[in-house]
Amino acid sequence: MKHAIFLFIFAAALSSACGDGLYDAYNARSGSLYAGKKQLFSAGGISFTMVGMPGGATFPTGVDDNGSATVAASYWIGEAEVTFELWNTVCAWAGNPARGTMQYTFASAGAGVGNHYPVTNINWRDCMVWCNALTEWYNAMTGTGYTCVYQASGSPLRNSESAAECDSVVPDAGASGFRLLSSDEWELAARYKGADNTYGAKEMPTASGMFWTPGDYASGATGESGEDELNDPTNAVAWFDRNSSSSIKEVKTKKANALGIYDMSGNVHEWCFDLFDAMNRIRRGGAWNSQSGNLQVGDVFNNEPVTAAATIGFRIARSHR
Amino acid sequence: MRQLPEIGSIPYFTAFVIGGRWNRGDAVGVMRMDWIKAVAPALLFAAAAMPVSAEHVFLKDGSIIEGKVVGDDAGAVTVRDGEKKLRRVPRSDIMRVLYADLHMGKVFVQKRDGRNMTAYLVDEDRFNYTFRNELNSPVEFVLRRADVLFIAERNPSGLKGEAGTDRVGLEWFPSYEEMRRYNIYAKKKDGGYSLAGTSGRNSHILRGLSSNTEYHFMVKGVDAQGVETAPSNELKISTKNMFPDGPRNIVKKLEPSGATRITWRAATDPDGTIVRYRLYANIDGKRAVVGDTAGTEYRVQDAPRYGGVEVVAVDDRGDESEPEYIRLVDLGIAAYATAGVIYPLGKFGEMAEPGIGGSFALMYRDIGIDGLDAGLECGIFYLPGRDIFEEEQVVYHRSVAVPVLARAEYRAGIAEKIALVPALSLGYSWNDTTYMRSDPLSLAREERRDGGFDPMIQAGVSLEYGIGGSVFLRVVAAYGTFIEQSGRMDYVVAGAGINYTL
Repeated sequence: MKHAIFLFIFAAALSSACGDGLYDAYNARSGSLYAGKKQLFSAGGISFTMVGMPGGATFPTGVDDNGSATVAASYWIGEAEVTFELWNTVCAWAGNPARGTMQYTFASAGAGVGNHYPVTNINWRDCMVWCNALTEWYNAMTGTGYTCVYQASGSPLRNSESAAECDSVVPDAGASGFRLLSSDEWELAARYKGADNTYGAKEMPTASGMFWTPGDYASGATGESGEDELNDPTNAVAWFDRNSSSSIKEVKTKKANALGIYDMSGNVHEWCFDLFDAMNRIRRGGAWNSQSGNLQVGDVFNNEPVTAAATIGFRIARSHR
Repeated sequence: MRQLPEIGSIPYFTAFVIGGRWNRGDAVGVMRMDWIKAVAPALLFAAAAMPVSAEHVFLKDGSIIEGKVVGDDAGAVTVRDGEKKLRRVPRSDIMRVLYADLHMGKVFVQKRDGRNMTAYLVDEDRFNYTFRNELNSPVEFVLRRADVLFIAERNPSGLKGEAGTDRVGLEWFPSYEEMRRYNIYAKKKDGGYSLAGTSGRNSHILRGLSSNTEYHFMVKGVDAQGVETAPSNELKISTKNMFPDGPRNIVKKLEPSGATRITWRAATDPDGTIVRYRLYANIDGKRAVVGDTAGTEYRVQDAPRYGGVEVVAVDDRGDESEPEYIRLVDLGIAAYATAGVIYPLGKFGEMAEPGIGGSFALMYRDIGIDGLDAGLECGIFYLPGRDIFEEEQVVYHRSVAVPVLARAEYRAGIAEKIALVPALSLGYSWNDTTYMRSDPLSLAREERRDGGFDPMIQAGVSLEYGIGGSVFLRVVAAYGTFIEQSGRMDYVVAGAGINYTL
């Protein structure tokens, strides 16, 4: 009898399926992307940080929050605007004639007050081509295998002087390299507050526990931009006409927003990839010479892609793979 | 002339002299010199016809011959001395002949005027005592009996003792005269005396003796001049017997006849021999002998009546060892309790810190094969959580594992009372984990608790040590794993416990 009991228990154990007693608990620390996760990129003596943002978030749009958008895919966004140091380093490497057919050509050389200042005086096409150059430079420096996002005739787009190729480019959605932000990606990152429902945060979707900065606030600000000139909450998070002394500033010298991203509002406008209309591309965020009211996260600006100005820079992005 | 040995000499006085009167309770006394002189002619006559017993012949040069007077005539006395040599001594050289044993030690003399002294008492008569300060010097002096209050021997007396297995406690009456110390002499039955110790008091414990051995002791005083007194009485005493060691490794086996055969490893006795073994059982509330054998095995015919027996070894002195108990009738079930630490490995180790816990098992013993046991085991283990919030957005508070297992093990004896026990366990564990995770989008933190049964398997080895009866101590080490949807969750456990056979 006692033998039979033992054999029964033994057989039951052998025939059992895998359990899940620890499964959920273990997968809770799966290492998947979460909002605000930071990733450091270092190459050639230069480093920059990107901030993660999971996909699937729906958020209000427009200054009056009367629209909404959803960014389905997870992505990484630059913690700071592209600096002149990084721009220049990549351009020097990419424009080297020794690269032959893979040499990059930029319509604008780019300008910067110093290494840690945002690069300016670059047009939309330069930014797009430079993102490809950054991808190839980073691969060359670190051995990664990122693929270029912007392709022309099956090859990476390497010439920003080619208006036809640049303006008709279709990004490779499956590419893993660096790229420009879409306008929605920019606004999502600018408005993000997570579970923080303070300072008039907007909850969307309803009862989701996700809160967003109102469209008339600067990114990371605790109040509406432009209403109170003496105590403008935008001061804490952005450089603009009233606090910049009419000059561009070093990146990351104001308070970051809820995701840990700097200068989403103010300092320099940031080119986004999207068309505003048939002729113009979107730029967002306001600049060092903007009035406070133009730093609102719901605001959308545009220029022709050939425009290069001392108030326009850009910020890089990368799809999460 | 040889110096007469004091050891072994017969006391001259058998008791103290009190108030000037001899106590002659003992037949052996001192032959009065005046009496000797009176009867000397008759003695001389008798000596020709029968052996004359004379112990000491005092010569005029102060020396003393100890022996037997075998011839006596008008001109000389013939003595057979201690070396069996005949010596003819002219009467002109003889100071006196003492036909009695001589107390060769000094005596203590208390005079009536309050003064006292020590000297050798060599003669006495009706009115006087004759003393020497040096035994072998002819210089003598006389004290009147009327001036002497009492004379006492100086040697210690009344030696008695109490023996242990390796020591003897001795105690004696001190000498009348204060002694510098006492020397204790000892010898074995057939040996010679030797100095075994000294004491400043009238007691002493001699250690390092052999057990179960006859010893002889005596004590001598040592006076202020460093001169030893005559010895005390001789004490004969035997040290106690040491108990034999108990029989070991008692094993029982049920025979087809229904009898229970028990065997054991032969016992040893440190100071003797084992002559038999005796078996006791509790019958009607009383401990009674149920068996007796000279061998190392015994068949118990009525085991259920006794339940269990005690086996003792009996040595040649009849002393018994400590009993060794063996249960004759048992349920064949062993209960284990073990406590220890659990160390999570791999993915499990990413979630939890090392923890503690314990398990309990009920095992059927000897299922088909001697030493092969099987049964059920359950336990509970607590593991503190690991904080990995920075990287993984999760804080583990704790994990609790409650395994319920089928267990099989084999007890392989590797030494007396020691067994190596490999074991395999299969079953399920209820694994419960409490943790806090952060929503990846909103970063809102929420407490969660996940639990469920996971199949598990564990293999290990124990070292089992029998501490007597049915009780065993164990040290355990095992490696196990939970079979999870997310893969294996491995761990090792180590602990110690106790095992009792019912």
